[in-house]
This record gives sequence, C-alpha cells and structure tokens, in this order.
Amino acid sequence: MAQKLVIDCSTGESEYVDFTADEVTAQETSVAQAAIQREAEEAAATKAATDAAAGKAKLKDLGLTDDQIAALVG
Amino acid sequence: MATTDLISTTVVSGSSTNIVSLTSIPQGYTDLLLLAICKSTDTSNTYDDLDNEAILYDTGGAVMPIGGAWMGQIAASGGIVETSQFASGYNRIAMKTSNESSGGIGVQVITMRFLDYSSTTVAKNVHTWEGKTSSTNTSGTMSKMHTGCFNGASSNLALGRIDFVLGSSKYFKADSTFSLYGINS
Repeated sequence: MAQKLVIDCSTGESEYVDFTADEVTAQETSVAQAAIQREAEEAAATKAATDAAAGKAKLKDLGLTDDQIAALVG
Repeated sequence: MATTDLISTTVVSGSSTNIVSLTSIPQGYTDLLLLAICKSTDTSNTYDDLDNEAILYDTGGAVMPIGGAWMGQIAASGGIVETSQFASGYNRIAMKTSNESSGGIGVQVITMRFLDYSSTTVAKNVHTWEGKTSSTNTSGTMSKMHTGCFNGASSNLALGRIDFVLGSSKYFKADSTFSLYGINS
C-alpha cells in the first residue's frame, strides 16, 4: 500500500498515512493529466522553434542576409 | 543581515512512500528554502522519464496556479536538450527525482526557493534548481532550472503546503531527506 509521509512543519512531527482508494485514483489521474499537459507544452515549444527556423530559412531564400533576418525577427 | 532557521527536516524510512507532504508551513519568515536529497525506487527509467511533481497549495488547501518556465535542462552527454514554456496557469512544477540510470544509483538534489511565500497581497516567486548524478555513466547526469510565479487559487493566499508526488507505483527510497528552512531578510 502506497503511503504519504505527512510532515507538520509547525511542530516538526511526521507520520505515514496509507492511501485511501480515492487517493490512489486521484493520484493516478493527476499524474496522467500532468504528463499530458507537459507533453502538449513541449510539443508546442518544439513546433514554435521549428516554425521559427522554417520562417528564417524562407527569408534567407528571398535573399535577406543573416543580419537582416536577425534585425527583423531576432 | 539575512538569517536562516531550520523549520523541519525529515528522513524517509521504509519503501512505500509515494508522496511527501510538507504541511502547516509557518508564515513568519520572508522566504522559504527547501532542500530535498532524493532517491527513487524506479529502476526502469533514465533521468528524464519519471512523472514527479511538486504541487503547491495555498493556506486554504487549494492547488496554487503557477505560470513559469523551464529555463533549461542540461545533460552531460547532450548539452542543452530541453527548453519549454509553461502555459499560463500551469499549476505544477515538473520535477524529476530519478537518481538511477542504467542500474547506477546516484543522488538528486533539489533546491527550491519561495520568495514572499507568506504574502497575501503580492504574487509569489519560485526558483528551482535540480542536479542529479549517476554512479555508472554520464547520460544519467543532469541539471535543470525552473522559475515561476504563483498565487492563491481563489484569492491571494499564502503558501501553506508543498507536496512531492512520484508516479504510480514509484516510491522514495529510505534516507531521502527533505529539509525546510525559513529565511528572514
């Protein structure tokens, strides 16, 4: 049985508490949701970086120099 | 001159602790400093695969919304391998506590600083640094930084509780240590 270590910082006392069935379910749901959210954020960041690189490449194809591209988009 | 007081330090025993919950955090300090030296029972994942979270709760017991960023993750074998931006309202700090890689057992140290954690009028700030070693190879060595701001869920309440949550069927190893310090400045 999974347990929580609960530390009362006002007293320094601690105790181990068994998970209830509801807590087991809630913990699994929370971890799964966090993983989904993190993966979505990572995918969005990757797409943004890919789009930025593709955009700069197209600007270069149009004849702009690296300095000109940097001046436009950083 | 800033002074630092040890509020509590706790060492995990046994092998069934999935959550470490620091509750009833005293409100009398300017900032908080949390030092966690963790080990996980997970042996199947390398440094980047555990679903561990640090969840902040306000003094009303609600999860505190956080906006922030991973400032970067650096692994010894790959340079900067990850940067990403949290969405506004992200309510958890992603953290990894795997300290094992390819069977090697290292140590992970997590330092978290909470600025103005007890304020009920301004947004709070959290900085997290993580470092991890492997005893057998360089690919398990990693450092990572996060930063973010947080508030109470429904009003600007203070930070009252911090939970470290491992993924399902993963446990903190015995001797993992969590120490909370109060800073007066």
